[in-house]
Parts: sequence; structure tokens; C-alpha cells
Amino acid sequence: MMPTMSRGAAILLAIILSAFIAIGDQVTGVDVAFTVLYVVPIALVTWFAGFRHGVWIAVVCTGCSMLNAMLDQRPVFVTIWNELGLLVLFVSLAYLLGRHREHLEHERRQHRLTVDQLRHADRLNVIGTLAAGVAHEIGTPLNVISGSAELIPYARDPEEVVDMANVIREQVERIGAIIRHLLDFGRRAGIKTAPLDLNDLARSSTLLLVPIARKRKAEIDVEPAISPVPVRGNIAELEQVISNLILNALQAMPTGGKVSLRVGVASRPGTTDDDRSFGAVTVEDDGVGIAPDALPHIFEPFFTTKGVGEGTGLGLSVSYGIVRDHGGSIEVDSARGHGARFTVLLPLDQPA
Amino acid sequence: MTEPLRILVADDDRDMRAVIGMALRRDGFEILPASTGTQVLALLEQNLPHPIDLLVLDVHLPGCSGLDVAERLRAHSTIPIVLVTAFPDEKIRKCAARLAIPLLAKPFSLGRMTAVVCRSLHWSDL
Repeated sequence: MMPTMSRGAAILLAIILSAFIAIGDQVTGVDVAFTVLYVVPIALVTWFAGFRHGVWIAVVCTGCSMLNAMLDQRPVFVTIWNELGLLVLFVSLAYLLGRHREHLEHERRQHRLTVDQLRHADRLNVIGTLAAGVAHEIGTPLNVISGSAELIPYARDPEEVVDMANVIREQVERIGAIIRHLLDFGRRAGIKTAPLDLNDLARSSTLLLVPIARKRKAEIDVEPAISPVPVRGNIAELEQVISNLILNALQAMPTGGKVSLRVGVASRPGTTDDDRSFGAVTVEDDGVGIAPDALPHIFEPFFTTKGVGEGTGLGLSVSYGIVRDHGGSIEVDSARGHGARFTVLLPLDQPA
Repeated sequence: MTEPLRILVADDDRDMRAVIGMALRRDGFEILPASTGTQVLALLEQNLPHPIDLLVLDVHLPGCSGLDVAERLRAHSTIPIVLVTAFPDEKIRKCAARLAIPLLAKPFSLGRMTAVVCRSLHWSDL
């Protein structure tokens, strides 16, 4: 992470510093070399406000130094020669630092872009898996609609027609909701964060996964917390995290079983404090568990124990990145043959 | 008047059961609804004195899936079954073919379903 300071603040601070240095230079007299301290405001401005601003601060600093020299009534030729040398030194410093800063900025943008692309690749992967659930969730209401339409001509009384028309409307709404949900999931997550309740997150993440679970002879059990668990976050990204964990749990149970989601509050990870300042979603399965030699690697990108075409090795590493960006963490607890438990911890959104 | 033929309709979706039931009732069948696989197996055992003549079975049932129910029934019974699914993948198709059970992919027309039901009951009037 680059340290941050606003451009204006950096320039203001640099001008104040330059003034202090100039005054110090004047007060202490020729014997104390104050001139070298000018690199501090120049470096400060170049780093936080860019090369151009660094150059004019360099000019200001050289000016200060020159003013001091003139007040000391040094020989003109020596002064000009000294100050020109100083200016070249200051501008070179600003140039080198500015180049370095640009390079870092570029790297940082590239990194952000790559992370975004990886996250999106994982989203598309999850959507591919969700397609089976969507087919089921949409196929049935479509059939109810076409069936009702087929039966309308045979209705015995007008009331029956109204009933069937209502059924058709309800089913269309049901399909609409599923499509909206899928579209929301597929959209690039963006950077918007909003207050949300972890109970709702657990429920919405499971919506399209229930049919897939059933297909695998597994069930998903959601146990919400009694009261809302407020956090701040990007709902699309967090849904991706929970969906990834549930899909992993399902794949760890080839013969079926139960995935339990529990929502609650917890203390800061790694401590036993009683502060309870974190919201927690626990995803637990009774599947094959994680081998001890695989455990240290599960959050590494492209690490997978699944077969070719089954896993990309993106899910957990992407999920880990998303949760870390939210100021939280993912804890894992597993023993071979005894299932796995993943806990997503997110800072509670407490009203100040 | 002869006793109407009884059809057990198993689907976890209430509206889907209602629509299938309405269509079949209109054609003079008696309908028994069920929403889970275990319920289907229980109903088949209970109604032994007045047997169920045909089973319309959704594959995606909670608990015991439609495929499991069909496999179990085929081990000892020849009751006609019509399988219904919203997601007819390779596994489901193969299983239906192996058990020689007709498979309808949702969304299907009720007319087609009735035709398949009647054919499975060995009616020749359609």
C-alpha cells in the first residue's frame, strides 16, 4: 500500500517546511549546512503531488537558499554558481522520485486490474455451476405457466380463469426474480459497498444452490442469528465468497450429506477477547475434509485438489482476497475424514 | 361405472402438482399428490388394497430423489412411471433409458404429458 496524503496538504506542508529551513539557515549562519534539508519538502511534494509540483518547490527552495546567500552578502558569482548547482540537484531528485512514483502507481493499477479479472473469472465459473440450479428453478415455473395456459380453455367458471391467470402472473414474477438474481451475480462487482445483514447474505447466497445440493443428495441448512448482524460490504462479492464455500462443501461430499450455514458474532480472529466486534458466517460440511499437507496451500491461487474441469483453484484465493479487502478474514478448521469448517469473519458495522 | 384410475403425482413444487393434477383430473383420473420421495414410497405401500395405477415422478425431490424411487420400485414392481425433470442431464437420461421409463423435460405441454401417461397405461385411444 502506498501512504496517502492529499496533494494540497503535501504542498502546504512543504512550503511551511521550506520556510522553517530558510529561517533556520539564516539564523544559524553560514557555518551550519541547512541547505541539504531542502530535499525533504521537495521529496514530500514529488511523492504525493507528482513531478511538476516537485519542480516548482525545488525552484522555491533554491530561491530561499539564494535569498540567504544574498543576505549574507556572498560574492555574486559564487552564489549563482552554487544555486545553479543546487537547482540541478533538486530537480534531478524530483525527477528520479517522480519516475519511481509513476512506476509504482502503474504497477499498482496493473495489480488491481489483474485481481479484478481473477475475481470476475471466478464469478463466471460459479455462474456456470449455478446454471443447473437456474434450469431447475426456471423450468418448473415455465411449465406451470404453459400448463395453466393450456387449461384455461377448459375452465368451468370465470373464477377458475382468474385463479389461473393469477398463477401465471406469480410464476412470471418468480422467474423474473431468479433472472435478476443471476444477472446481479454475473455483473462485474464494482466497488460499491453498502450496509447489509449477514442473515440476508446467507439466505440469498443459498438460493440458487439448493437445487444443485439436492441433485447431489445433499441439503443446505441455514441457521440465521436471532438478531440482524450488520456489516458493510459489497454484496455481490460477499455472495461470491459464500457461494464458493458452499460449492466446495458440496464437492467434498460425493455421497451427499449436510452443509450447515450459521450466522453469528465473534471476537477478533486470533484473540479470545470478549469484544465480539466481528460478524461470522460459518460453512460446515461432513465431507472428506482437507488433507494436512494441503491445508497450508488452500488459499493459494490455482491450488486445487479437484479433478481437471472441476476446479480452477481460484475460488478460495479469490474469496480470501475479497474478505481481506473487507477488513476480515477466513478461518479454516478441518481434519481428514471429518469434514471442514470455514468461518468468514467481517468487522461489524457499528453505529458510532 | 368403473373405478377411476389412480395416479400419484410427485413434485416438490405446489403449483406444478396442481397444474398436472388439474389436467389429469380433467381426463377422468383420480389424483394423489406427494411432495417428497419418502412420501411416495409410503403412499405406495399404504394403498396396496386400492393400487395406484401410475406414477408421475419429478426427479428433483427432497430426501429420496425421483431416480432413487424409480430404481427401488423397479426392483419389485412394474407400476408404470413417467419421469419429469427440469434438468435432464446425461445421468438422468441414462437412468431413464436403462429402466425403460419415459422422461419429460420441463417445460412440457400437458397434452403431451397426458399422451405419455395414457400410452404408459397401455391405452390405445390416443
